[in-house]
Amino acid sequence: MTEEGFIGATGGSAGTTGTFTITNCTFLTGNVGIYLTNGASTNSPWITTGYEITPPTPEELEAYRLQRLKETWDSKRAEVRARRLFKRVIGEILYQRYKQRGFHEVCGRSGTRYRLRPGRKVEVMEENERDSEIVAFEYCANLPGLPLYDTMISQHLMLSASRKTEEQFKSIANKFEPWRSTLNINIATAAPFLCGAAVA
Amino acid sequence: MPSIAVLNKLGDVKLTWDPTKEEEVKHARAHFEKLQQAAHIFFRIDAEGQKSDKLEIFDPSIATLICEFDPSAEIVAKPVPSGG
Repeated sequence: MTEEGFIGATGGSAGTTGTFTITNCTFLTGNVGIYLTNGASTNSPWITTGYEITPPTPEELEAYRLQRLKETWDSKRAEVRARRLFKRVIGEILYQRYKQRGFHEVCGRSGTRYRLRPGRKVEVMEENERDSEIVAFEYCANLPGLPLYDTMISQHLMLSASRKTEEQFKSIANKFEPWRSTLNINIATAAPFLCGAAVA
Repeated sequence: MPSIAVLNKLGDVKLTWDPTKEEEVKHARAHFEKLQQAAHIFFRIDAEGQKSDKLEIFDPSIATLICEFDPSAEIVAKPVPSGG
């Protein structure tokens, strides 16, 4: 929603009648209407839909604000609890290392190294070198609706506990190319290009 | 102290019990079986968490997948993740 409370919708073409479905919306402003644009930043006049939309009262606005505040605090408390459990599961040594580096590295039973970050896909590191910094690909599997650190706990446990859970995780997760694939370059072969040297 | 920590929207909800008290162990076992029916996966974690920081070798002190209730263990129960 924009600050004015307008909802963007697409579809339809000039001269036709469009149908817009508005779901899960809360109107927070006193002015409510529906704008139709032709995509060229010129707006048509207000269109009446035939529906009466009553702006919220100040009491309803205040109740909504308090509800959102409570949800935010509940979410933050849950994340703090989850981070404490994450620290408990991986141990003090690895937690300090995670805080320094910004990611938690796990070695699976298959020998594959995985990097976990809160709210991000699981990075699978290249296997040809022990300390490779190159991401081969990424897996995405999470616990929807749960704190980010709970997802990290889940990923850590499944990838490190046994071969069976590691394979189960891989079968559930969606596989992606690394989003930083443009940075996965071999410095030795790319150096001439990086330095601007002429290419024969 | 033995416990079952269930991951949920609140972070985690922990059930603890005294392993010397039969009633509490029975209640914990019932809770474990209820979670099992709800398709949770269980891991027993080591008392101090992971001990080794050497990641190129498998660390046996890492959490262990369990299918049977262990009244003396610290257990983490999690739902099955979904692909994102």
